[in-house]
Amino acid sequence: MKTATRVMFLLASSIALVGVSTICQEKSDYSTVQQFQETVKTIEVNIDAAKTSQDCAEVSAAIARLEITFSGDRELLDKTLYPDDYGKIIEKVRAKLALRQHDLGTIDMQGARIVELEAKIKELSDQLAKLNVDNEKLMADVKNLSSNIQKLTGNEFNTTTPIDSLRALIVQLRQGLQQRDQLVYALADSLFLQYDKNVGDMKDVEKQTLTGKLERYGILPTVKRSIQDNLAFLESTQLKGTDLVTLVRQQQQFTSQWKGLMPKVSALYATKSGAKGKTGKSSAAESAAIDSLLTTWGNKVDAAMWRSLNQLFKDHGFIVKDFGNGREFVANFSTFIEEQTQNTQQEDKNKRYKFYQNFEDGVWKGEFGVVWLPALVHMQKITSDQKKDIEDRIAVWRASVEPGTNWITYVLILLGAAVAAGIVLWLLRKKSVPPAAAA
Amino acid sequence: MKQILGVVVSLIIFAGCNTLTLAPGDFSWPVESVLKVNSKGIVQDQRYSFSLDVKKLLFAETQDSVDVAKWSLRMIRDTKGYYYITAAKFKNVYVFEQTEAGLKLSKVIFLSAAGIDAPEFNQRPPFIQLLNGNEPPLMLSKDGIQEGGKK
Repeated sequence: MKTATRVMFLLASSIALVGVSTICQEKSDYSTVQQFQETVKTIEVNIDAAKTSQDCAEVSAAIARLEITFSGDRELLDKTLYPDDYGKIIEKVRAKLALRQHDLGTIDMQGARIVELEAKIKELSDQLAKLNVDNEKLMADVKNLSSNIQKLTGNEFNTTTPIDSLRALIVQLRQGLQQRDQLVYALADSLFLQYDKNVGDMKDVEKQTLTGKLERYGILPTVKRSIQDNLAFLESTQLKGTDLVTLVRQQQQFTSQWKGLMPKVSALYATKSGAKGKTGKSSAAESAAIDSLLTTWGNKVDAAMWRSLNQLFKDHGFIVKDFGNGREFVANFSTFIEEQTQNTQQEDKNKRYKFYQNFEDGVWKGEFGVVWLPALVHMQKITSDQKKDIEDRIAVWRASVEPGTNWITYVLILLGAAVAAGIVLWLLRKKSVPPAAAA
Repeated sequence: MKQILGVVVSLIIFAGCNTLTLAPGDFSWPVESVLKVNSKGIVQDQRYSFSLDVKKLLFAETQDSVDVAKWSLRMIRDTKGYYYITAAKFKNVYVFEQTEAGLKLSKVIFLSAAGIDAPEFNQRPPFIQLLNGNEPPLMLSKDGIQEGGKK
């Protein structure tokens, strides 16, 4: 009996379960459509909110789940979602995700680049700070050593060690200053590169951030300090010759880099919040001070360079009227050569030739012709036409003093030719005699 | 007299030939619409682009045509073009047919004296399926309940 009851109970349970499952299978089409649309909306919101590739991967998995969940309702959704359909909506969501992934890829790349640049900026900034300290110490050392050398007299002065040490220090300091000049512009470039666009295209918030960074890393004060240190270096060292050529080039490069940076800085501060603000005004003042210092530096380094070139001629005993710029140099040096060519002093030809040879060996084939003259053209102090004119004048001077050929030379040449002809004839005659006849 | 009769018959035949009928047609909505009644007693449907004054229906069901804005009607159309309307707490499903600028009541299908809690329509040609929570579904036609309950 009990068994029969159990069987009945199990049967009833089974029927009930089948019934319940049948009931559970019935669902509202409207709810299905609503659920689908809400899931799609949630996915779209998540796509917009995705900030990393991982977020995108999660959304992609959600789309896959959506497809699986609603695949059985495809027919209903196709009818209900008109003018779209199930397939089109899935396709649209996937396309939206792909677009977001592409954008994020670009953003990720830009982000990585910014991080990389930030690291570079930090490194450059640290190097700059270290160089500031090193250069300051070197500058003090150069001043001390220079003053000690000036105190030396007689044999002590001939000792080369202190002078060599000073020279080594100066080279070190000059290299330090040059490195610092390059670093400050590299730092400024890196800061602007982070935004990878013209200042005019930047949003206000980007401009403010960049302005903050320029101020934090003290770009303008460092540029100013660089010029001041270069000026101090120029004044505290008695540089000559090629060293000065290097300095002029350095100053020109610095000026050109500043001309590249200044418009960007000005544009950055020329915003509502910048130009009218305190920082905008102080930046304008700083820029003006830098311009003025650069002019002073340029004038001083130019003056030192021309002085050094004047001195080069004097040291070799050539009296060229003093010059202070390219135009004066060309005029005065041309006059000097012209005087030599024209022999205005009515000097003996041998003496003039010897004088020319001294010029050629000591100056023309030395520092002046090899280093100074090409450098003057490169630095745009003189034109290449003026250089060519100088070279031509020197050639004429040489031709005018070079000893000419005399009659002894001609006799020697004729004698040489006769001997050569005799040898040739003798050899030909020897060849034309048959061996038997010879025997 | 014969002539007059002939003319009348011809006219009748001619008129009959002019009653153009397009059939068969399927007017079913794939899914029900859930329409919120506004304060003026009007429902609007974006998908099928119609609006309907339902104050009389609400009054018929609840004897109240003032507090109408609390109702959300569920509406679906069968293949033949009949409209089925009900709502949560309704005792009936109302079947309407299209008339000029309105709907004309065709049948009232009684469901429960206490009203139904969560009615939902599904299109199940040739019927309209009515779900109500965990209760067994009913299959409706314009004539009444066809399956799953009292006919």
